[in-house]
Amino acid sequence: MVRSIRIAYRILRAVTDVNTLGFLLIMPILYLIIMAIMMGSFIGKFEYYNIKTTYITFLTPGIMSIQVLTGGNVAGWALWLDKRTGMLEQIFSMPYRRSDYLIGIVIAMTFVSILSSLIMLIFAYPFINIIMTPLDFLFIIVFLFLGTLFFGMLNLTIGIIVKSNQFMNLVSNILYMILTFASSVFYPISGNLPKILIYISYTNPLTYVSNSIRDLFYNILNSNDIYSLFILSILSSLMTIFTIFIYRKIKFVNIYY
Amino acid sequence: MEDSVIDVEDLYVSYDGKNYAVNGISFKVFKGEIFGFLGPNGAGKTTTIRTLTTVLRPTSGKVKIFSLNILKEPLKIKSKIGVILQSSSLELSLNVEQNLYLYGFLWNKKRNEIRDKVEELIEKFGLEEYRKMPASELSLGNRRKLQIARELIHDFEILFVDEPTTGLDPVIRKKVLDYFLDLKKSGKTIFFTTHQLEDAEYLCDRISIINKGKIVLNERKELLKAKYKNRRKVEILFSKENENLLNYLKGFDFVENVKTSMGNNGFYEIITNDPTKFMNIVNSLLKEGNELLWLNIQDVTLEDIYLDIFGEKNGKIN
Repeated sequence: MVRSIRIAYRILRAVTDVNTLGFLLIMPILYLIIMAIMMGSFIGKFEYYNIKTTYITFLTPGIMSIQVLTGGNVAGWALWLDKRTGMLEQIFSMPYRRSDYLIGIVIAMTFVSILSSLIMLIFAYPFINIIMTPLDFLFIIVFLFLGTLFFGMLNLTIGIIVKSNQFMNLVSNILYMILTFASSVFYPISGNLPKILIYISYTNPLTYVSNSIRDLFYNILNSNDIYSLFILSILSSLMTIFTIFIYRKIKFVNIYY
Repeated sequence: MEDSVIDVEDLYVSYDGKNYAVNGISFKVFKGEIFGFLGPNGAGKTTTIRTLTTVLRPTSGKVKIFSLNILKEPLKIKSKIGVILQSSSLELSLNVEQNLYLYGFLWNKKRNEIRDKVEELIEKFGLEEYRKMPASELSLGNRRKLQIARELIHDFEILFVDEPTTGLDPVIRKKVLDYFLDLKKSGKTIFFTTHQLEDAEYLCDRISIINKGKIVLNERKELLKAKYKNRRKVEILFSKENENLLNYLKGFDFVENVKTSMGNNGFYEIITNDPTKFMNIVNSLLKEGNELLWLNIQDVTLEDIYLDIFGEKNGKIN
């Protein structure tokens, strides 16, 4: 475990570019400000499960949950960059197991997603009216962890497979866009949506993270959230198994510069 | 009896289960020597180094480092080796000093120990003026220096080096090679892969040549050169090309190799194992009216041996 923590520290210190991370944090904060002000003024107060609420209160759990994509992105990029620069091969030739590296990445991405979610919450806190217990926080962390695990493993698989920076950029940006908008981050999934969008949204694990954190915000945790927890656990476990399988066959690229 | 620190026996490595990048090689590396592992691009050098450093699993065969099996005790082996890869493998966003500190941290060194070592290495490798420069902005030569310096943060018994001088200018290249000679003097064993023959000639005690995954030669450098000690490379330039000369020279048993160079009419490069007899032939050619413009006789270099092994026999230079 100590070896994995060393790897996690290294990823946070060296691989995670401050500018990129800044952008990944600033973008959701901008969403929070722009969407909450613009859409909020347009929507006004509305009812969510018979609870009168504001759009910023509705949006904050969604913005918190998209931090699982940020964490996942960090994981994919860290592995891709390490593969590209030769640092992955360097680390594998040092007294580290391959599993140490993988666990190190999981620690780093979980840290990034939980910390950035917390930043979103702190940023939105003066504008929202919620009461949360420590147990609610614990549940939020569990949902964030499972979401991060799923998207982190997905991004790691992409990082293992891709062979160019451009492709990595393209795939991660497209994925970020699709996953963010085809979910319940910005709006509730209602029967009025086109069926295809409903279907996509419910196959998107981000919807389950977002819905459950929102229910914890409104203190309306219910059987659907237990179902979400179950679905997320299954999906993230399957994704982890698949990624480990791909990771065992990782090929080193020879880019000399 | 010398102590071997690397024992490779009948090693096969395949990436796809069908084609073998390393095809049944066996060799030993002895304590304190610089072992030159030479071969053309794609010969299997990097695959071998990846297997020895436990990054790749062998398909079959036995590999022991310090008598430890690489499959059973990889962590113990890895704690005793250093690796300098052909790719920069640096933390590009961090500066020189931060790269050294982070590497020391990854090797689980104490902070004050790292601090002292970093200062020593920055001075030794002349990186003082670049210490705050990000690795991404360093020249190739300085990146290579940083890579070598970084490896000296921790103690190792064997250093694996994969083509360290590729792309370096001659001055930096000489310095880099001298660092390895210093390491040898301090008792370290170095496994050095290259396709730069001059580097191997300058540095290595033992030369092993790999081609298409198989070792085609494995010899101490002095023995290798002794085998070729009577051989000379003769370069001759006649005023005009003689169409029959190539076949005429090939006919002598003391002429091992004759090449002509395209674009240089009348130029011949000959490897002979009896220079005296060969000069008699040259004299007779002069008597027959051939005009000699230039003649140069040299000892056979490692490069000639290498080219001898890899073809280019009796014909035009490719």
